[in-house]
Amino acid sequence: MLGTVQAFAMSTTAGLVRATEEVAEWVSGQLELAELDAHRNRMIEAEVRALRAQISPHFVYNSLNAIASFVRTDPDRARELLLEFADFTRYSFRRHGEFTTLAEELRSIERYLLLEQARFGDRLQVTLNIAPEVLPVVVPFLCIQPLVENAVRHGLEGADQTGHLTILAHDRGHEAVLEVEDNGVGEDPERVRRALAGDAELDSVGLGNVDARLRATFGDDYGLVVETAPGAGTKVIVRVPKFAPGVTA
Amino acid sequence: MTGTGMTGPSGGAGRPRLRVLVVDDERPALDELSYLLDADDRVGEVIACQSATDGLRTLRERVVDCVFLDIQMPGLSGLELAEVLGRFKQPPPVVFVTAHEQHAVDAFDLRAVDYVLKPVRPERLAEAVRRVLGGTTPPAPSADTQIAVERGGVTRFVDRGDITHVEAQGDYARLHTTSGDAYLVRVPLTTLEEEWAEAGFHRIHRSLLVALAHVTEVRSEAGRTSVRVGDVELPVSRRHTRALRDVLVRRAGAAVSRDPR
Repeated sequence: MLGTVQAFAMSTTAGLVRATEEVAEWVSGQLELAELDAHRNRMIEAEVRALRAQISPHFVYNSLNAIASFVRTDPDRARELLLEFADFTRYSFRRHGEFTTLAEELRSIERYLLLEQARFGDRLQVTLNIAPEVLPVVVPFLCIQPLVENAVRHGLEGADQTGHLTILAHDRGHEAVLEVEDNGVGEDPERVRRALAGDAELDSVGLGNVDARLRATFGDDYGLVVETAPGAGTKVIVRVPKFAPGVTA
Repeated sequence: MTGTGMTGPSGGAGRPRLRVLVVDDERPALDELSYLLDADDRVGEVIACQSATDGLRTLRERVVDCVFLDIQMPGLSGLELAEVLGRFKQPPPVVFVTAHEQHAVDAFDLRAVDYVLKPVRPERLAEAVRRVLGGTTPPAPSADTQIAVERGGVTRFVDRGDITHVEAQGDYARLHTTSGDAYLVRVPLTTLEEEWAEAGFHRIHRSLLVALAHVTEVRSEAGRTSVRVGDVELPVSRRHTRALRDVLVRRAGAAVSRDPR
């Protein structure tokens, strides 16, 4: 109970009582909605925080180790990589804002891939094909990055072969469509289904998190679509509306 | 022909220098580690491999004194490779070089000589080489050390190498031997702890010393650790658990006999 609604009149009529009741119900309904909204926002903030905390220690220390090696063999490259590393972590540790533009998210992904390519060399082949029209589209912060990290990991795990990674973004009228695809080990679709359902036991924690935030932002029609099978590589498709009410970077 | 102890290449006069196998799937990491090891005077030759499979292939043809291993690699992981090496007749000592502490416990199970974190500091790597050298020299023979014990008016001599563990009993210490016999000697446990540390006796409890050479198993259940010597299971107190792990990791492959897992 938060408070009371009182009506003052010279005499009580059935109509007035009903009207008062209606007003009280409406107010309490609105209050509940506001609370739900606040709760939802807190949840999303917590999830983004969790995701940010997930920047893999393996990635951090292996990158620094590679840079340490280049300091000796190729100092210019070491310096360049160090700057990329700084910018990448700065973006990922960013504190403000639930949303970002695809342009910013993709720029950060490019940096991430540069660092990974420094570590893995020719074993990691990347193709980027981005339609410039979709760059200003607003999306949840860190909603593509985890998909790319998964793709790199899966791609390289395909026993000793080269990991081919493709990132496509195209314009589809009122929507933007992004695809992150690798030629790696693939995954059992049942496990993917469970990861999307939020089963934290699986190692693709990022997948469930991204899916939940896309749905929370754009509605249930905009969940992730994952096409995969063991040994057949993985393709994750993200569809987002170009404009959505209340979604601004 | 597979792994070996100290049969390494003779690096000129004096002590033979180590022949080292390095395995890491990331080229810059492999370059760096090879470079740092090569710069170490105690290392004679560095063989670099970019996958665990290549590493195994190399070991089929060549003899190495130790292996420096990355853990996260596609295909056969570093931990899996170490497990295979552990089955060699004379397993080469393994040092893990990895980005994250996450696997330290597994590495301990595999009796790694050391566990070095990336990015690698030259001083820390030098320490790992020192531990490899310490581990490949045969453990100090203690068989010639005889302990005089008295029982029922008769003085007998017990080989210190036969003693599995020592239990404190007031001012006395009870020596337990491999044959199951036990003898009381009038020496406080703390004195034995100091004097026998060199011979591989380690404090695991307020009232217990254990001979590391006789430890066949380390168990850890619900946060409680214990070690097995012969048929006896000895408790390891919480306070001593960490030190015991450290010392076992360091002595792995040398003083500790492999347990049948």
